[in-house]
Amino acid sequence: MPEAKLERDAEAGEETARAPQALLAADVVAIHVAAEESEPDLATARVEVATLLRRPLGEDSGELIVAVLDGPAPAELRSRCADLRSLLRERLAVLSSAERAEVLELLGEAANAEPAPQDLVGLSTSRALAREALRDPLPPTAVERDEPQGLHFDSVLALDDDAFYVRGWARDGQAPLTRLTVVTPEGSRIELLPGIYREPRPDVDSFYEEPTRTGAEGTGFLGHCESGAPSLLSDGWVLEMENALGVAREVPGPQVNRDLLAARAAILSDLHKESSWDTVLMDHVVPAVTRIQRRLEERAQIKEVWEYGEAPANAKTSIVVPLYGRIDFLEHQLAQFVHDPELRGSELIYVLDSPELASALEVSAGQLFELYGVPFRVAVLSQNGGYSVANNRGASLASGELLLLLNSDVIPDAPGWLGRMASFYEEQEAIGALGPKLLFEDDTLQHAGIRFQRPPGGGAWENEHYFKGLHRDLPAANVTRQVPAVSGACLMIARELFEEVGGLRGMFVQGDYEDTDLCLRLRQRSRETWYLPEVELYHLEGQSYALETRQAMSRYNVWLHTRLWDEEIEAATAATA
Amino acid sequence: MLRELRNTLGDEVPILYTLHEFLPICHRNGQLVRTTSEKPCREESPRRCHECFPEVSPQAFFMRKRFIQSQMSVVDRFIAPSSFLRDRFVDWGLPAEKVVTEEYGRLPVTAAPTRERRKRNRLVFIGQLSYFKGVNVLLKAMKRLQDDDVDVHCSVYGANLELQPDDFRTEFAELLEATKATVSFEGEFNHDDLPTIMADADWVVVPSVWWENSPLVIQEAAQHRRPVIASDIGGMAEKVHDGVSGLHFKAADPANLAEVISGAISNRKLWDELQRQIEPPYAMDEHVRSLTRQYKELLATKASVGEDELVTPPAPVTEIEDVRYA
Repeated sequence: MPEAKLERDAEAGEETARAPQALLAADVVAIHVAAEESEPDLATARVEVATLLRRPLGEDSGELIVAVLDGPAPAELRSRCADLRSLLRERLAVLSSAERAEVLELLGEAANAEPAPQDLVGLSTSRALAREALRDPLPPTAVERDEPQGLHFDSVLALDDDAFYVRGWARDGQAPLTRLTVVTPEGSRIELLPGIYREPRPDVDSFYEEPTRTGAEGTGFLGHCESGAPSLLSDGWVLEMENALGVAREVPGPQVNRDLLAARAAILSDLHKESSWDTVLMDHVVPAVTRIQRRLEERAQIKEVWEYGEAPANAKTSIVVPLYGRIDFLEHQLAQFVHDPELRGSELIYVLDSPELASALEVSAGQLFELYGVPFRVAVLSQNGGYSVANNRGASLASGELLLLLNSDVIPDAPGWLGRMASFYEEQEAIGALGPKLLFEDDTLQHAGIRFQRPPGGGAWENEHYFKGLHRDLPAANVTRQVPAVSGACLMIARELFEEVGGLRGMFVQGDYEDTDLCLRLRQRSRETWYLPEVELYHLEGQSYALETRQAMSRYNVWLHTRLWDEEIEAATAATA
Repeated sequence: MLRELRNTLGDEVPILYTLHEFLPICHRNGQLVRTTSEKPCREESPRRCHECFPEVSPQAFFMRKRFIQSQMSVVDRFIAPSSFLRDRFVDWGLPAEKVVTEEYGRLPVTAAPTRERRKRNRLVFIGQLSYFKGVNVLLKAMKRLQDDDVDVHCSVYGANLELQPDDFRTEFAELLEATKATVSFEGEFNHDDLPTIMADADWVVVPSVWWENSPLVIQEAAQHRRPVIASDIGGMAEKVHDGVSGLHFKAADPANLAEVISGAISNRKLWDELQRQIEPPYAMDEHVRSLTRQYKELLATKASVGEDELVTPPAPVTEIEDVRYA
């Protein structure tokens, strides 16, 4: 047995520079079991975990364990390893509760090593078993009238492997709370106080005989938290509380919800709890939604690109059009573009952001090319990614000097519009973004530039379209000028500049405020935003989305936009007032 | 379809398009009658169309129009059988210089004999048995005349009753029952029987509640020299000259129709005068000559246009060139 240990150490020496590919709690146990001569202590455990951290465990780790355990039959080994909990309990019983907690923490750190271990689920399972063995449960609490401590863990939404959005309530009739901790099934501990968002729960408070002493912040809590190490298991979350008198309780948590879109909807609906953008709530909602957005974005890669006809060589402008839901808009645009020779001289890139419609689009796109003869490409995303992702992916294929971001529900009023936009863009030295006049179907103004307005008393800045709903010939709307921002429904920008600023930002939810965010980032780089009324297109907006979903999301977008840009908007507003 | 035709024919071949109905303008099967009020409509707009079809957005109506106009833009000339129809399409957005009015040509027929009769009180309705053709307006007028003991008779020829909505069929059946003393329902008819049908009639009634474009029955009436009593709107008002080749009544108004019929049959001289003033319909050979001339004109115009002025679609793939005829 000492030999086996030596062998292992020798290997460890060779592999010192390499990061671990996998770490199984079973291996920790195995080593403890191997160290027969003395009772394990925290120092040994530390060294061993550290050793494991530095050495890779490949397919031979099973054999190693066999060696370490001094050669029992494989079947027997398996049964011993399966009973990991009792092994751990047995071997580490001598450690104090705090020391055992520290071993768990070390396991968590090991699990978080870069690059990520390959068998994340196996690792999680092992860590969960280790947690069960090493953690001392606190006394449970029941929701009862005369019970001073009340604790409930409503929900856990997984935003990522190591980011969560939790919700519950905690009240104490004896003393103020000093600690509110969630424990992942794998044993990572996340302290929620003091940063978590607290809200009053009169429904809960009125149930109890004693008034709560948990403080003015309120009984309910919700918010974003990070576990430090991946947590993949759905069962086994725990919520712990402790008060100033040292009384500690715990309750089990619910199953984790891993549906990103459901999570996003639930988190966004929390925003109704506040009426202002600059609250602690947003400190939780923003990182949570940003995580979700990033994951949705990562999933939405270009899966395929279909080419129809030959894109003209040296096209000056590349047009990027996301298609979402309504793939029939493709034909509506082509039926107008066919009248305009300039469109044949441009690079036309459609991005299908509804992958489920790929086969339907493939059938019609080929026919439409034969019919209209306007060359175009279709980039199919692997997952729905939203407006900004679709545009960014499309732009990554573009080769023109100028980029025109165009919505699929925009159709030109007459040929010649694209060349006029391009010439104007090239004439302005410090230009960043250029937007044309956009019309509603009844010839009233949909867009003549965007400015920002906030309600008196400093609410959130909202995007306001100049002269919206007035007639297209309104003289004031026919002035070429700089504006704070323009609509992304039809926005021209130099491709190099677009790439330099990193494209549109995907943190906004579903096609709103990315455009003004872009204009404000350009403004930070001293790039101007211009409105060009001599170019007129129709924007037949609002046919792709259900209205209710948009409203829920728009509150978030407005608040996020203000959070990001409060000062810059003040400056932009003052400059163009 | 039109664009496919253009791609296949290439740019040199003129496309002439005869407008028969208003389907491109009106989503309600081209009827130009509002769903809200059942009143004829002559002002389409995304908003008004959306009022008729709340489930279709104004934006969708706008796109529909632009889309259809794009397809129609490959046509070199539109031929409208009535000025009314032409005006509707020009109002809607077809370039005025592209749309000409030209009535449908008719092959010559021998006019049905005019029998000497003491009273000119026999009416005939020939057409689809549908709401829009106004047959129930006529039956309601007949009911009034019957109640007033007016000596009048009407034959109703028409088909496709089974395709109509239930409420229309019910009303039609009830009206037939109520007017059985003065109205005979003849059902479907064979076009060869038209001379016989006309021979038996003094007046042809065209009571449509929609505009019509250029109803064939008016031309047929003219060929057989029967004065027409027609609604005072659209293509009917244009093709029947009130007090000259026929009489107008207020569209969709049975009381007014009853009055006009009653006046018409009680005035012997009126019928003779109207019959004398009926102009022969536009002859088919003239129509064909005109179309041929227009086609040649367009062909010449197209040939004189420099090739670079045209946006050339990709050449259609064809293997015809490989075929050699000995």
